[in-house]
Amino acid sequence: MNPSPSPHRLCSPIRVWVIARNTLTQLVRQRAFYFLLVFSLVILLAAMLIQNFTDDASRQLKIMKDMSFFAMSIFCTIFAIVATSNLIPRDVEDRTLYTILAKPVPRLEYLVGKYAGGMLVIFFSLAIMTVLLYLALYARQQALMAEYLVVLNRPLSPEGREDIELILSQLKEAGPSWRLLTAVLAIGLQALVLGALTLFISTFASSGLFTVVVAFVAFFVGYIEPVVLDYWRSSAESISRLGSFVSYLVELVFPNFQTFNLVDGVVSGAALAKGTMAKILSMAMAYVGVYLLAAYFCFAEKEL
Amino acid sequence: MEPAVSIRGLTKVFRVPSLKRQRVVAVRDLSLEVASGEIYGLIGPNGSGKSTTMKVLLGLSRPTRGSTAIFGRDSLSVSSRIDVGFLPENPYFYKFLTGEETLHFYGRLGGLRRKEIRERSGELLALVGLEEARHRRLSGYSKGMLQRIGLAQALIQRPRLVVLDEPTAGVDPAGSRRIRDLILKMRDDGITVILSSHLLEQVQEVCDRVGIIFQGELCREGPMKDLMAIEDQTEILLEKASPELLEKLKTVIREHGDESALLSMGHPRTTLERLFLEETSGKSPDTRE
Ligand SMILES: Nc1ncnc2c1ncn2[C@@H]1O[C@H](COP(=O)(O)OP(=O)(O)OP(=O)(O)O)[C@@H](O)[C@H]1O
Ligand SMILES: [Mg+2]
Repeated sequence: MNPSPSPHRLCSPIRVWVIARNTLTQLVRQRAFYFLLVFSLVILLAAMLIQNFTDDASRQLKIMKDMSFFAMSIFCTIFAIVATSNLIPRDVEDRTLYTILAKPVPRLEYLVGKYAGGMLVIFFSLAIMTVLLYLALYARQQALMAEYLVVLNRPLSPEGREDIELILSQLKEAGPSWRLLTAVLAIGLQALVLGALTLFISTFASSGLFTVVVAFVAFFVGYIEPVVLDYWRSSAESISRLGSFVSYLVELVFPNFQTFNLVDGVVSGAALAKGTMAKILSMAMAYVGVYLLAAYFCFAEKEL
Repeated sequence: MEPAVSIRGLTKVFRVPSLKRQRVVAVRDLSLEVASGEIYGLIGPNGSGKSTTMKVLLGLSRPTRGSTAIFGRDSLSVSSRIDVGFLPENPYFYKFLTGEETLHFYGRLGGLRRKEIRERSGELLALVGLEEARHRRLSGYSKGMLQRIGLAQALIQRPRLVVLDEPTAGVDPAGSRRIRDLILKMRDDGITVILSSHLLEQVQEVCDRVGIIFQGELCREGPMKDLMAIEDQTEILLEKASPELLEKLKTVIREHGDESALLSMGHPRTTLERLFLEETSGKSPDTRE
């Protein structure tokens, strides 16, 4: 006879991890990582070509950082939306979900596992990209500094020497630093929010295209919302109750994605306002929590 | 003893998304019980509600009315699924996994430890005859292989109940025999099985009890023996009977006088399946090892 069944644990991190890892495997074997190849080529090409654009040495490094961060944001935004949009609908369509949920797997665990798997891909991609960026930046910085150090050893006028020393100190500043990580982290957090939003939309959307389009529109709204609302609030003579209510609602539902944009500040070297990281971290966690909960409510009752 | 499956007054209505708000009653007030250790066959034409009943039983779909339970645990609770293995119709698994990885995945979901899974998956792969293909990705599996890995997946955590939706659909006769033998082995191991199939002969061979479902209603149910026997008819099978003997028999029956009548006479029909197997394997399908 069979032994009596072991007591079932309501929430098991093991099962969430198993599903997350499976999703990671899925995305890796689907070669989503080819994106990365393109990205690293962009950085390396940029590193090689930039010297022809400008003579200003520290500007070269700045452009490199700008381009890399741009590539990272693009990668994370597109990946967070496109890859996540398909995770659950695909399992539903292929009916793989039947066999998964026929095991003692609560739907919440499945949902969180899928989400975590998608986000793990973003995490690893960002980690690899960051390492690449640091390496490329370091190599370029060292090469440039070596050039100027050679110049410094020649007989120079005092002004010339001063100029070179200024350039060298700028180069030191513009090289790889911890500060760059805050921008990377912000990009990652934005991807977490976008992924959760997309997952939520995908639980009730009728098609993958719908999910992707709605998620991009939501992203766009969240991105321009602060500018538009500020303009509207400052230009309108009087704002009706309804108007202000709706505008707050828009602000609440669509996260202000400008908050996650630390790139400009970080690249230009401006100091981060105190508490910025704590603010975006808590904001991201709150939105992720709310979206996942909403996704669960849609998914829990879903007919398969 | 507690029934393995109990379905009480199950009704399932689907709302079809359309302008007229149509509704489809897939299952209507269906009640049945499957005792522990029994093999129960659910048969019926396409669209009669077999798969729907199974999906509700596994908590994949919510009942509109009524309730279903597995070993006394309501299907709506996750814990009812600890003791079940499910093979859906036309199963489809993650193509990017190999056979072994698939079993590992489901084993982990079923709550097994790595070491247990390693032993168990070796056992099951041998049982379903997929040892050669264990390191191949499922994208390269044939339909019959998918069906068999599905069966292994259903059995991974040693469930006490196995639910099989058309386990032999799309499988060739030899493979389908094999699945039948597996089901009989499950019975020997004390596992309760509920299956649906369109291959009535197979159902007849393996099931202890059958339910016939038509348009969502259970119209007939009972032990196989009772359903199959046509009490007031008798079949005579002769070998090398000469035409004269047959004529004589006819005369005897006619002259016997009471209500008995000859209904048919001719060569016994062999089933297509039997014929196919004899032709393709050169041995009688009845010599099971
Ligand atoms: N998700 C759904 N939405 C709407 N109608 C559905 C849905 N699922 C099933 N049905 C309807 O319910 C009825 C029963 O379907 P079900 O799949 O249970 O039949 P079945 O007995 O398994 O048939 P088959 O032998 O073809 O597998 C059918 O009329 C079908 O159209
Ligand atoms: Mg069916």
